Formats: sequence, structure tokens, C-alpha cells
Amino acid sequence: MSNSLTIRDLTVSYQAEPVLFDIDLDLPTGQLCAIVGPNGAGKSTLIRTILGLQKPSAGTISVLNTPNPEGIKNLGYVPQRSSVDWDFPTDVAEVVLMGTYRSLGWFKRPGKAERDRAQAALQAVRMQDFVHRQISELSGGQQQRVFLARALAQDAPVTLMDEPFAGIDAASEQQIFEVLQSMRSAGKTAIVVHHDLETVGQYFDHITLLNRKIIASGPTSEIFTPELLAQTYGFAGVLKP
Amino acid sequence: MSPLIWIYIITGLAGFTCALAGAYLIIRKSAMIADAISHSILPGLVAGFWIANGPNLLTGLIGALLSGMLTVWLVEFLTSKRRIKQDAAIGLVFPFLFALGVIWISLDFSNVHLDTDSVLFGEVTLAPFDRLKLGGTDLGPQSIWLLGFALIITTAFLTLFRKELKLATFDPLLATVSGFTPIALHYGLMTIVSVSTISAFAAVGAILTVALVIIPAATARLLSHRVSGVLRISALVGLTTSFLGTWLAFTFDLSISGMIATLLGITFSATAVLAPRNGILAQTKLRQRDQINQAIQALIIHLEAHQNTPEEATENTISHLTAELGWSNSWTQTVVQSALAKQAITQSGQTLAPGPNAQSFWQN
Repeated sequence: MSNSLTIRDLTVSYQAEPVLFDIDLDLPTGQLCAIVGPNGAGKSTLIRTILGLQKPSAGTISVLNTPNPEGIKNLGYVPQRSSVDWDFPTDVAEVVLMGTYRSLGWFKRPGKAERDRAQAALQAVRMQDFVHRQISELSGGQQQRVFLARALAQDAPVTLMDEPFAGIDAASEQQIFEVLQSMRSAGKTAIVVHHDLETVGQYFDHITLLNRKIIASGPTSEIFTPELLAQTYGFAGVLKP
Repeated sequence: MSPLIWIYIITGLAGFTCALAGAYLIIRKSAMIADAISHSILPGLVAGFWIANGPNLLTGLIGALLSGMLTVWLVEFLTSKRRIKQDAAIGLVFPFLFALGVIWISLDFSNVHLDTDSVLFGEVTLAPFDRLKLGGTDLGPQSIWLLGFALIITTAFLTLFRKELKLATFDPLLATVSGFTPIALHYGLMTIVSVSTISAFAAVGAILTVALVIIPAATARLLSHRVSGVLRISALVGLTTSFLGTWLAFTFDLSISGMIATLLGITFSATAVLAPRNGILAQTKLRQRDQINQAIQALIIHLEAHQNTPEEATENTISHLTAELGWSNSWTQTVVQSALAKQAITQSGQTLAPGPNAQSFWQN
């Protein structure tokens, strides 16, 4: 089976000191993959680098065996909910439609095909009743589901998500997890930065433990052990997997 | 054509174009960049005149555009590389550049019609007499050509990059990943703001230009929740206040720039009070409704707790509510009347009970 993501010898530095050291990573396709680590572990930096938003000082990245920057075209992206201005004057339908912009390229306007794609994506996250809702009036969980619908509308084989479960209610969390499962059933890959160690073992097939370098990466059953978690978080007894 | 009609066309064009260019500044919450541009184009304008050895449209325009872009670039540089907030960066850049222009005027152009008063307040009544001449042919007032050009490129830019601007403003990261270049769009947007500002500046001065870029858009933002709506309403407000302000100024023999700027202020204030959803009145009404609904919820909880219990006859009476819930007499009256009207409760004699619509108060 081919890799969804292949990283070799990746080092990323913001200032003098590297944030990510010598990363080698192979993630499978068609699975739900979590990237887990403490604050400051470089999770968001890793995501940004994979997306080409941050230039590495060394190393190569391939998505579905296509080297970047070409490989980025295979990636969908769900940014952190707090990274955008929810006061922006728009409604749910238009935000989801933004997921189709890449396939349109410059200048071309979205047409019926794009609107249908957006509508289907909204149905998949069960937000179809909110099509014309102003985005500032959504709850945190609803905002996250809109973002997820936008990622579905991107229709990418591999989707990167930065903390999609952060700060949302239990019902929304369950719905988002169901959407992830249906993505997996459709043969797609989700690579998710996740912070909640309580749920990571239950939600994900594959776990990568990161703390500025890769501590361990593999199937959940092999990786989600107290020893490796303690090694990642720097102290023991944080949790009970 | 009479100068009077030209003045209407000039102020109308300035209002429409600046308001259109300003809409995205308000949406991006960086309105003050317009203030910076409108002032810091001065040294570029003077430099252009200096190169051409006197007032010259082309060199002045190019100089102004370059110093406008220099301002945008400096602000961008200070905010991204030096961790200075945008408002502080703007405050650092434009007074310096503006002062540079003022000093240069007093050094080299003390006898040319380029004084600081007309820079700040403009003299739109003179604008029709500043003609564009090409090989001896009179092509009409310069300002019309300038503003017409600004209008065309502003409209073209906003139409051509409609979806790209939306995405790059709402989510620059996704825009980058999707193969669009937010930074190029940012500079494109700043270019059209600069061109609009410069064109209006020449006719109506710096203060009114800033007002025309910011106020119509800020008004439109209160009235619309869509980008296209903000753009349309902003342009409409810019156009109508400019026409109306000019007419009032002529009728009562007042300063045109002053009248338009005043009208803009009044329009915004009235909108801030009266806007259907975001207005102060609507918000107050909404808060009052929430307060009453919350009180009705508390009332229903109380009634349900004592319903069908031995103490129902004493607990669930209006007179007892005042003591039990800590409400004033008049507030109790308001809440009970409203709850009865909404059939959230029912009344038989002195005793109250949850009504048929009681449950609906929890569904929102």
C-alpha cells in the first residue's frame, strides 16, 4: 500500500534553533492518523510545513508519492477554528463553497456543479439547515462542522486537520468523528492534530507521537502505550490508555 | 458644461470610487491604512512635481502612487518582521512621510498653489478649472479623468478577483494552499485604494478622502452580512452623500468637503442607532426580549416545582412571586403579562400554572 505522506530528513527552524528535528515519517492511506504531542511540540509547524506555508531548512515531503510542491494539490486543509475572523460578512453556503475554489483556479466563478458539491458536503456534516446562516451566529461545534464540510468540498484524497475537536460540545465531536469515519470508508486519509489523549486511542487507527522529533509512529495498538506517552510528554503517569 | 455640473460629477465619482475601494478595508478591519495612504502620498506628489519642475499630472500621480505603496510596504514590514501592531505601524509611518512632504513644499514650492490647507481640506470648487490639455485640445477637468480611471480599475479589480479576495481575506492559509497568493491580492487591493485615494485627494483633500473611504463602508457593514452587500451599499452611500452634500453646500453657501463629511457622519450615526440587526435600538430590544424570556423560564421552573403540591395555592400566586423570586412588583407584572400573552402560563383566580407553550421556551 502506498503512503499518504512521506517525510524524509525534515528540519524546520524559525529562528536560531530548529523547531522540528530530522523528521522521518510514513503515514498510510485510507486511515485516520493522529499527530499527538505536548504544546510547543511543533505539531502546527509540521502541518504548516507539509502545506508549504513554512519553508523547511532541510528535507523532502511527498503526498501520495508526489513530491511537494506538486503534492500539495492532493491535500485538503482544515485550519484551527480560531485562525479566521468569524465576523467576516458571509454565510455558511459561501464558506463551504470556498472549498471548491482551488479546482476552479483564478478568475473562474463557481457554478452549479460547485454549488452541488458544497450542498452535498453540508449534508454530510448535517448542517444543511444552516445554509443561509450568518457565520458569526454559529456555535463552536457548528463552525467546526462548516470547516469540515468545506474540507469535504475540497474533495482531496488526503486531508490535514489542525485541532478539529478543540473547544466543541460532545454532540458535535461525535458528529465530526462520524464524518471522519465516512471519509475513511470512502478510502480517504485524514491526518489530524489532536490534543485529547482520552479519545485519541478510540478515534484513530494510526498515531504519531511528536515532540520536536518523532518519538514513535505506527498503529494505535503499538504506539498508545504509557511508556511512549511518558517519553513524549516528558513525565509519567499522565494517563491511562 | 457649467462648472456646477462638473463639481457634482467630481464629488459623485470621488464618493462612489472611494467608498467602493474602502469596503474591503473595513471588512479586513484595517481602515486606518486609508488614513496613512491619503497623507503619505504627499511627499510622492511633491517629488513628482519637483521632477517635472512644476505641477504635472503624470509625474505627480506616479510619485503619489509610489509613496502610497511605500507606506503599505513599510506598514507590512513593521507588522510582520518587527512585531509592531498595525495601528502603531501606521502611526509610525504616515506622520513622518506627511511631514516630509510638508517641509518639502515649504522649501521648494512656497509660491505654487500647493499649500497645506488645500492638501488637507481640498478645494473642489476649483477642480473644474484644472483642465487636462493634450496638444492644445481641452479634454475637460483633470479630476474627471483621474477619478474615472480610478473607478474603472477599482471595479475591474473587485469584479475580476471577487472569489479570490473573499477567500484570501477570510482564510489566507486556505487561499495559499489553494494556489492563490494572498500577499499579491493584498498589494493589489492596496494599489486600488491608493489610486482611488490619490484621485480623490487631488479634488477634495485628505480629510474628506479618508471619510469617503471609511464611513460609507463602515455604514454598509452595519447593514449587510454579505461581501457583495457591503460593496453595493457602501458605493451607494458614498454616491448619495456626495451628491446631497454638494447640493446642500451650494444651497446654503457652505464648504462642499465639510458638508459631505458632516453628512457622512450623520448617516453613520443614524445607521448605528437604527440598523435592523446591529443597531443600538435593535440590540437593546433584543436584550430586553432575552431578559423577559429568561424571567419567563425562571417563572415556569418555579411553577412546575410547586404544581400539584399541597403548597401550590400559596406558592404559585402573583403576590407570592414577588417575595419568592426577588422581583419588583412592576417587573413581576411585566413578566406575568408577557407570559400570559405568550401562553407560557395560565391563570385561574390567583393561582398560576405552566401553560401550553411552556416547553417552547427551551427550544432555542
